[in-house]
Amino acid sequence: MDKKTTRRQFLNSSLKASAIGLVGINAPYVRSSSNITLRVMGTHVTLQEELRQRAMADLGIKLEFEARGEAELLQKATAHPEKFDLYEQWTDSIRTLWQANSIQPIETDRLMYWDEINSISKLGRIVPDAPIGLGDAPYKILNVQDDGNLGKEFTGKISFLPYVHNVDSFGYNTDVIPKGIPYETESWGWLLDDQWKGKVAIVNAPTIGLFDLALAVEARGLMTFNDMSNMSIEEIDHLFAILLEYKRNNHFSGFWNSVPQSVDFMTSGRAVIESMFSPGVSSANGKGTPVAYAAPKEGYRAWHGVMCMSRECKGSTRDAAYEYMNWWLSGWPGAYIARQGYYISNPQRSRPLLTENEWNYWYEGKPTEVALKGTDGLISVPVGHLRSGGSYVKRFSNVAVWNTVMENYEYTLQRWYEFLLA
Amino acid sequence: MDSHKKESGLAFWSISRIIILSFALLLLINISEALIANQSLSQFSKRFSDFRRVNDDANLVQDIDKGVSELQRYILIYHQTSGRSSISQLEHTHAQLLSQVDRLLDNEELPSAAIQSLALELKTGITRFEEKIESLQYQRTLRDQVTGGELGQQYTTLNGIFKHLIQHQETVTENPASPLLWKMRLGLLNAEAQSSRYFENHDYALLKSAFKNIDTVIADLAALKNALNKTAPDNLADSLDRSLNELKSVMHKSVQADRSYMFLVNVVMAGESGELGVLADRLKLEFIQQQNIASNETQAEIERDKQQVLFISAAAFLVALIAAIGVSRRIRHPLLQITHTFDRLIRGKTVEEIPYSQRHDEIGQLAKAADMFRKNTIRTQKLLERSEQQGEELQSKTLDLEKAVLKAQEASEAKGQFVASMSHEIRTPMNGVIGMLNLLLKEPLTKKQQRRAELAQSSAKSLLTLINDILDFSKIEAGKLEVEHVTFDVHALFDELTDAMRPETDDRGLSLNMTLDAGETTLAKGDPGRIRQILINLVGNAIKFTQQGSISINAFLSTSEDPHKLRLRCDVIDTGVGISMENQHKLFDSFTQADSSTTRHFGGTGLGLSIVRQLCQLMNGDVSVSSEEGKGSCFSFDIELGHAVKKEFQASLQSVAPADAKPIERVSENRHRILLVEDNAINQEVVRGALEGLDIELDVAWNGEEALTILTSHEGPAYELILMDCQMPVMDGYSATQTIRAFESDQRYRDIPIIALTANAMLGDKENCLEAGMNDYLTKPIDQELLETCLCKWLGMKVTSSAPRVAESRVQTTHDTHSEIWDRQAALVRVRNREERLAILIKMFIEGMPERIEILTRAIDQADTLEASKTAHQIKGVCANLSALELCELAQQLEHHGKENDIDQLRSLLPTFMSAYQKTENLLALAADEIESGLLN
Repeated sequence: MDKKTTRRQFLNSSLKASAIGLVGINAPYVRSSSNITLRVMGTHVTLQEELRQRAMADLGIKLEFEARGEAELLQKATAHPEKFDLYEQWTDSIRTLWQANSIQPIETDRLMYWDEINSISKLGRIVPDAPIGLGDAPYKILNVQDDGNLGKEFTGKISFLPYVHNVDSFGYNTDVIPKGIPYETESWGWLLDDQWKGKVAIVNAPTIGLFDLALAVEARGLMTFNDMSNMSIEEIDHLFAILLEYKRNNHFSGFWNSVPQSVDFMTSGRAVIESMFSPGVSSANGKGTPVAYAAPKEGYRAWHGVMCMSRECKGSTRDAAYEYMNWWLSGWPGAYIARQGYYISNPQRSRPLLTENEWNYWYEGKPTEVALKGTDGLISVPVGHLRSGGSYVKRFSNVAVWNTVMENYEYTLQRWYEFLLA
Repeated sequence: MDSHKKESGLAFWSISRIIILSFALLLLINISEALIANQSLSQFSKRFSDFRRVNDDANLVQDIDKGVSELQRYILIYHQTSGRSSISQLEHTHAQLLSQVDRLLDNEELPSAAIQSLALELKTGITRFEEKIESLQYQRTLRDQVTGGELGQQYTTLNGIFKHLIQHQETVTENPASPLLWKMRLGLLNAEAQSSRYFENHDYALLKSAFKNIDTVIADLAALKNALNKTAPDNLADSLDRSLNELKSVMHKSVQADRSYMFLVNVVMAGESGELGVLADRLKLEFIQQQNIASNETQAEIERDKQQVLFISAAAFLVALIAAIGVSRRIRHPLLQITHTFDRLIRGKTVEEIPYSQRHDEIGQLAKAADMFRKNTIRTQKLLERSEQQGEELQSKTLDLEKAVLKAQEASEAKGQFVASMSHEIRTPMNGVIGMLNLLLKEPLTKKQQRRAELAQSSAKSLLTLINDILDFSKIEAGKLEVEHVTFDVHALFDELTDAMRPETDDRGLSLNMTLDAGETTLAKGDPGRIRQILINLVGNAIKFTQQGSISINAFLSTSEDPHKLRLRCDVIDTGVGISMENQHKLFDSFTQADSSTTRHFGGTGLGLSIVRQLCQLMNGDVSVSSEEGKGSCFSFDIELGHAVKKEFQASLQSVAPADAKPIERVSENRHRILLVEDNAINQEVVRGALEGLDIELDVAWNGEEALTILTSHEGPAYELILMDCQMPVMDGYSATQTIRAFESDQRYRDIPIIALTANAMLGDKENCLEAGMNDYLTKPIDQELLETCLCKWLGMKVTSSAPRVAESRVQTTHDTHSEIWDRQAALVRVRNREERLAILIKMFIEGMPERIEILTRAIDQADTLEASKTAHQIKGVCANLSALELCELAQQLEHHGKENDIDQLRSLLPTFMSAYQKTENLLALAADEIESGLLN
């Protein structure tokens, strides 16, 4: 399907829709009239009921969301591509999915906002002087090369739609742990501080959790890595030797499998410091546990959301899948997730849908003059509050490592098992 | 208390007070100790059961914890062996774990909310784990298929091709491809070795070189093709190309399958099972904590109880000690002293002074007693000697007395026997005489004959009275007279009695007044027959001894101290001849009259008053007399009665009612055949006469044996009833009855009603008859009425007189105009035109209805529609029998509304019903009065 056809189809649909007065002037996406059900598999981060309802209303298609834990999700996606149409996770799952032949290339021609997508996913850095960060920066695995591998060269075919992204660190309960200074005192090393022994939790995903721990080990000066995003067998062994020692001393209180679980850990007191995602931090604060989201001096662990299309997604379902992808970049979803602390790849389209205070707080890192509400309608940001880590640019200029599947990934899996059950 | 103190002369702190006080205190302490022990025991038992429950759950949690470890272990075993058995073990452990958690959650109250939520989390995790076990097998199989099967196959194929090519090259000399071929083959072998090592230890470098080797082989392929072009067949080189690319793809697939599988085992399953482990651990800890809390609480409680008990025990010990010291000081020492004194006194030694005689407590009294004792000892010794002497004399007199008593008893028994049999012997012929006279008087007689027969009847009745008096007296003497306890209406008793006596007083021109003050009581429990006997005796005497003036019966029924008892006091006052003082005290002796000339003048046995006294005494009372000669006498008796409950009376009324109230108008179609067994021809005749006019065919047997013969061999219709005399020659009535009841040959009569006819009026005769198997009992002389009633009862409702008494309303006056309220004529027909029966029915209505009305109004008042409906139904039945039409209709409506549960209708209808009831009762009462006065006239 070439560009022309797409445009024509779009115009046709638009005209038809306008003729019967169904589409509002501001709705740039196609309203489908068929009874298609789109099955979306992903995490709690993006599979939110409000998004589903809004998308169904906007697109006129039926959406089924299946939200699962990271590990489980990937396992299911690689084994059963026929069980989903769209798959939403992170860049660290791309190599796996691609090699397992579970997903098909996405044509940039069919993406209405492709040109608006910013340089993080296309070139690797938000501003020219920002460091790229270790590991699989999204741009390295975005494009489907002519030889069938994934690479930097633009070919018009991409392995995933770049959309939601953020930088992660760890959260800590300020009732227990004194608030630190961003980029100065806050450090990944806190995760291995003996003071919090028995109250530390880590995400159960080797591509993510291992980096949190590697950053912590390095921050504490327990070892150094040649390339943290591509550890050697010896480095892995050394790292796990250190971690197992901590594990045996009951340093870790748990390994969470989903964001709600990470919130439970924090609010129940099972953990006072843990790997966290931004909405988990908001949710825990909303539930009355004061959690600070650290801006570690070593830099963030960055992640980039990917929306992939199943190998088995075809025909009208695929058309609907493209509609859904376009919808995601059409402004409203970006504004919606901005209120949960996520960034969208084309923020300028969402800006008009945010208040000035919201934009200033979430994207510019400026204090808000009014209390900001989260998507749940509760106050999530009090007046005068500053986003931890500062602006979008500032935060993405402090990326230590991208979530990555290393060459010795399988080996880390073996050691991870030992670590979990030690 | 003061006066008591003065009287006994005891000090306030007397020994008994001290002891009582001490013991009371000890008792109090004991009780509180027991209470505390009891309380703590029950608390402890509750704690214990709580503890045990928590313990059971804790064991379960231990099992769960173990199960989670097992789960992890079996995953590991499966990972190592990929054996079928370990996967089924895994599934089994999983299922067991799930059921264990379910069992834990089934607990109604888990020790804490934390445990509840942990268990729920655990359940969710375990449930989700099932899917993982399924995936585990799938992924493992996939991995083994790809990495083992497909990959190996691919290498083998490629090796085969190379081998073939090399063999082919060897056949051709001068081949330039050979070194290249060998190099490629080596590269492939290296790749195979590296890839297989990679799947063992997952060192990415190995995989990398394996791919590199394959890529080199692919790169060399072009050169090889060139070299081979001339010699080897094309297809071999092509298939080599294809297979090498296929190998790369399978390699990628293998890596992915391996990665997926490892990801599942090492991250997903390990993570989740690890989390299950953490949850199970926390659950375990939580339980241990709960156990500790329970245990600590129990410990604390036990400690507290222990301290309480200890404190109380110490207090008890202290009190006991003080009491012991006090008792010892105040009692033991003085007692020893006094005992010593007594000892001396007993041994006859002189005691100058008794110690402690100045004390004002029990010891002081004891000392005084000792002094008394000292003084008495001397006197006693003298008396003792004398009494020993008298004792001997007494013994011989006692022996004589015993002999005399024995003799007297024998004589008395002989007399009793004699009187009993005498009275029986006399009553039998008397039965004949009276019966015959009754029959005679029914026949047309001349005036003279009529008068003589009436005189003979009167004499016979007097004689019977005399015999009955003697019989009563002998019964009393023999101690065989028993007083009944039945519920009866006191008013009715006195009314009936007065009415019965009135003809006699009227005859003599005396006025008879009766007053009964019974308050609100109408019913009492006692022996109305005997009370009537007493009254007849006293009133009869009064009539007998009063020439002019009046006789007054003043009765007074009062409550007694015992709530179950009543006392009836009754004065019978006459204005007769009176009794002299000296005779008054002899009056109640047997066979004594006020003066022997009286007997000549007034007749009588002189037994009456004696029997009256005995009867009064039997009823826990007595009789007395006060009299002034020439002015009159007053006989007063007072007896004890029981309090009757109204319901009992109601019940007894109802039990009587059916016999009379049943509609008797149904006329039998067949004559009833009955058999009379009687050895006395006169008695046979009396019975025959009594049955005359009834639809009854009477056959006669002369004794039991003949009766049996007739029963087994008679012709014609079967007998429906037997009238059986008891004492007969050849075979008596008892034996005959027993034989009939045991009939084997002829079972027709095994259950035939047998009615005893006996002159045996002594107590216990009825029991003998019933014991022998008879159904009912009639005494001679036969009362026609009773006989008829009895036959009605046993022959069903069929007996009817073929010649109904014509009672065509002697008193039929104005009531016919009220037939819409009460159809008197219909009611009369229902009782075979027998007005006295109608009067009985009316009386029962008037007596029984108020209570039913009360129940009804109360039920409606309390909105108890069920009770109202039930009572209305009863009222309806009674009214129907009496043909009280209006009331019957209203009762039916009430019953209907009651059934419909319509309380409003019930309430609105009640006033109408009540006024109808009033009208009906007035009419019926009027009619009853008329009937009674009509009958008396």
